[in-house]
Amino acid sequence: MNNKFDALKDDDSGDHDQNEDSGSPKECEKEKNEEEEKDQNKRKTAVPGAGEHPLQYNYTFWYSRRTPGRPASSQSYEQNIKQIGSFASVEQFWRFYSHMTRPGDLTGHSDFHLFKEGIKPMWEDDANKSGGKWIIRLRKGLASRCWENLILAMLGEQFMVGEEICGAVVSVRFQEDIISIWNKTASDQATTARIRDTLRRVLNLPPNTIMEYKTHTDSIKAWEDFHGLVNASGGR
Amino acid sequence: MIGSLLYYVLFPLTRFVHSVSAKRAKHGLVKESPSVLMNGSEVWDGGGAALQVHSEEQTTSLEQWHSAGGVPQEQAEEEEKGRDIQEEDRERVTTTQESQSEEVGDGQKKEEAVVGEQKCGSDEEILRETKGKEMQEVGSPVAEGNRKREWTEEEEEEGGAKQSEEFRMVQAQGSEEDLQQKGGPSEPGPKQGAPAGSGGSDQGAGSAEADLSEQQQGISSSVLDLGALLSETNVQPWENFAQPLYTGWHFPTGSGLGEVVHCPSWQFSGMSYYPQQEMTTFEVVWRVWENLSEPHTESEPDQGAGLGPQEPFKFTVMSYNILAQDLLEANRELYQHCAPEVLAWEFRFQNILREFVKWDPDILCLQEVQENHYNEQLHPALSDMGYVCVYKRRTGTKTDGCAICFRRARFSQLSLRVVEYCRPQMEMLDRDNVGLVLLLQPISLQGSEVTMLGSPLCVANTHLLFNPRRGDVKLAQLAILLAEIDLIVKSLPLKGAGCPIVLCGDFNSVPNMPLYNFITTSQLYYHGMPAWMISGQEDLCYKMHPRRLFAPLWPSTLGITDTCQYVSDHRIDRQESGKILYDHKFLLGLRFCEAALIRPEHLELIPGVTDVTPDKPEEQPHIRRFRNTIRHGLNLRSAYSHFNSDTNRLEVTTLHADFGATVDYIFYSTRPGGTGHLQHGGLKLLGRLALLSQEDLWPMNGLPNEIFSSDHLCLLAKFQLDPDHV
Repeated sequence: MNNKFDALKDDDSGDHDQNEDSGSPKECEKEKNEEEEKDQNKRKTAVPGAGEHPLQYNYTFWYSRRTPGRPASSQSYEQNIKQIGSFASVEQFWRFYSHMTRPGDLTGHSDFHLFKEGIKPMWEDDANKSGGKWIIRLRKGLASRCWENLILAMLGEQFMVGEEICGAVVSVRFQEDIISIWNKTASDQATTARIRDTLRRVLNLPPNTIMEYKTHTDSIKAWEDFHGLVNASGGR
Repeated sequence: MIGSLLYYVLFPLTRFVHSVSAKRAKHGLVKESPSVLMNGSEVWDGGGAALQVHSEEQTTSLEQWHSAGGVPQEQAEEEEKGRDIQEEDRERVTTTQESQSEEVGDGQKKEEAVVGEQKCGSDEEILRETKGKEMQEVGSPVAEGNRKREWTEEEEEEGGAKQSEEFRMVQAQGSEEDLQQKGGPSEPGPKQGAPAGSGGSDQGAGSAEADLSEQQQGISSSVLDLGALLSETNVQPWENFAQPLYTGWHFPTGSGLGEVVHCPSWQFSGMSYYPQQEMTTFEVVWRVWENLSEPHTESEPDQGAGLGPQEPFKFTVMSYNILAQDLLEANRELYQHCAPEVLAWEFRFQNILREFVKWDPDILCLQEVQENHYNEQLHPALSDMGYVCVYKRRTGTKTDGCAICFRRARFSQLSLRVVEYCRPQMEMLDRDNVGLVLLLQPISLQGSEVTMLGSPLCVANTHLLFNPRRGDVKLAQLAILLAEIDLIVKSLPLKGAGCPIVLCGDFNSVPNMPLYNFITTSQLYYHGMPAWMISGQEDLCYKMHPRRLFAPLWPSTLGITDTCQYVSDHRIDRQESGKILYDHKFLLGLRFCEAALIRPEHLELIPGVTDVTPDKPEEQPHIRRFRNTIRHGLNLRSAYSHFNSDTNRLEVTTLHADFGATVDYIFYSTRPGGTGHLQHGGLKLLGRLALLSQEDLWPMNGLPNEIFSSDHLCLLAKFQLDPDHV
């Protein structure tokens, strides 16, 4: 039954294991051992709180912003990307999402990434290295709505491509915004076609929108060409 | 302590208020009083207007009453404060009332406090007066207020000041009528109470016959009153669905008003023509079985159903509010017309058992089952009769509850949901009512061999809040029950498609009023409707500022949608792949749930990125999604028609000194539309035990009587499972 603790529930991962025996971990006072929990939180995976709606996978929000004036490099990319937090349930997702700026309101050259827990939003990650992404370029003003639709479809497992989805990115640029969804196997055309069709449906895109699939190996190459790097050990 | 002291003052006060206004209701129709016109069209309007008038004389009589009652003026003024305390002490009402009854019964006036004495005195006075006079006022709407524990006189929307004003007005009205009536008990003070009461009795008996034809005049003309009443209440939407089918209008118009004035005289003629001794000749079998199936189908209710796997599965369901003894004791004034012997629990229990044996239902849904009686008597007795029983006591300090019992030879229990409506943190759902939802598998038991027959059956039983003013609470309680039914049914394969449903109980609502219509038509446009109108137990349209219903009807934290389903079970799909799928709408629906509004503990504050405060949920679309119409997905129909077309009389399922109406039901699921072939998940109604009318019952001295030992009648219906599922 509901009780007043529900409203105060701390659904934030971490403390679940140690309290599992009590059967209602969410009713424990969250103040206690806060420091300790914080440490655990870094290492432990997110779990859904009692009564929450679990997601098929846990996800992590990331945020990155290019420092103006400095040449992008693999290192600076990794330094600039910041983990915001992980979640395991619908409720936990909204807790992050509703405290985050909408992509359309972000300033500068910045990105939100939402990837399955354990997958870094980088081409080099094991899950990504043979993968690719669908890219949709959006005129200004559409990013917030499209991003929300995209990630809700991803969290709700609407793409129906098994474990293929890795994550999604929204990139705020100068004159346009770009959203993309990453999958594991770029060569699996059935999967990529299915993702494209689902994207069309869930994003409710204007008919003339151009969708482009790009493998990460191509992306790496293009990036290297652009930056004149020949023997980069990966990176962007 | 202070609370209970104050209560001692307040209870007789409010009791008197109600009895006096009941008087008004009665006289309003019977007499050619200046404030109330007899042509029907202004009966209630006029009555309402007259309430406003209070002359000096009337005020004087109020003061007189105060001094006669020995209540210090300050005490009376403290009424306002007392209201609040009384509300808080709602739980204690029952016990307090109980102790009152005991006091009165013993005839001992304990000299504990002036207040206590006053209470006792006026209580006795009312008892005596009731015998002679109030008894006539059966069905009067306001006197109803005395009935039953859970109604706490709550006046949340009206301040205490308004309450006392109302009291004055009613008092004024009462004395005005008393003057006209001459011999009547003009002052309700303890000293005058007894003689005046007996005087009223004589007069009542004498004039009853004479008044009869006049009253009937009032009945027929009051039917025409519908338009005036509707415009009076100023609720346009209501007109759309509450069709003025006059047979169903127990209240506020049509035969409903008829009943208000009708029963007293019937009662009296009954008392004069049918002395108590004669009543023992009646037997329970006096109620008639109505066969509704085709002629070739066997119809006896107690001849079990077909046992062969080919034959359709037939079963009977009884719904019976057996009147908890604690509640009887606490509301003794409602049973003044009864001989003390017929009110004794042992006597009633034997009678009720006899009814169970006589009708031998396969499923028994009981309400007002007192816990100790259940444990010590009912459960053992029913077990011996071959029933498996589940019981749920009401929450809080209530001693009664609901039970479902089923024949272990005919059903096996698949699952059970015990439903408490109480949500202490929600103002509107802090009531202690409960329900039970049971999933039963029809079986055939031959020796030790058990054969499953047909699809599972869902049986729900409840007793909704009584308070006639809080239709909003009743609807929310019903929504919880419907959501529980939805949940239990969906646990079946194919999401329970085809699972028939029987929903029965005491709904404390009369037919063809909004709550009833919601059940039977699957939707209700409630926006702006006054809360009292939902159940239709009483006509409170004279109230100036009634509580009204607006969206959302219940808080979103209840987790129930406007389609009466749990949010968490809404649109979740677990496909064969085992994946947890959520569609866009479902995810959005959780966006502003409380758990989702808290800032994640470890979320780093990055200016311009993670420094957003969530918008207030009130402004958000998922709240707006709670529409002005509530719906449910069950296709339910009442097993009874509430009106006997042969006798042209309204059926009643409950009757006591204040009130007679249909409030108990057996609803069953049917196929949506179409005839002939049975519906997927539908039940076919084969027959039912005919109900009685007030006119039948008052000659038997009303209820409870020597044969029917509750203030409700039992309902019994026979159904056939859809043969497609056999």
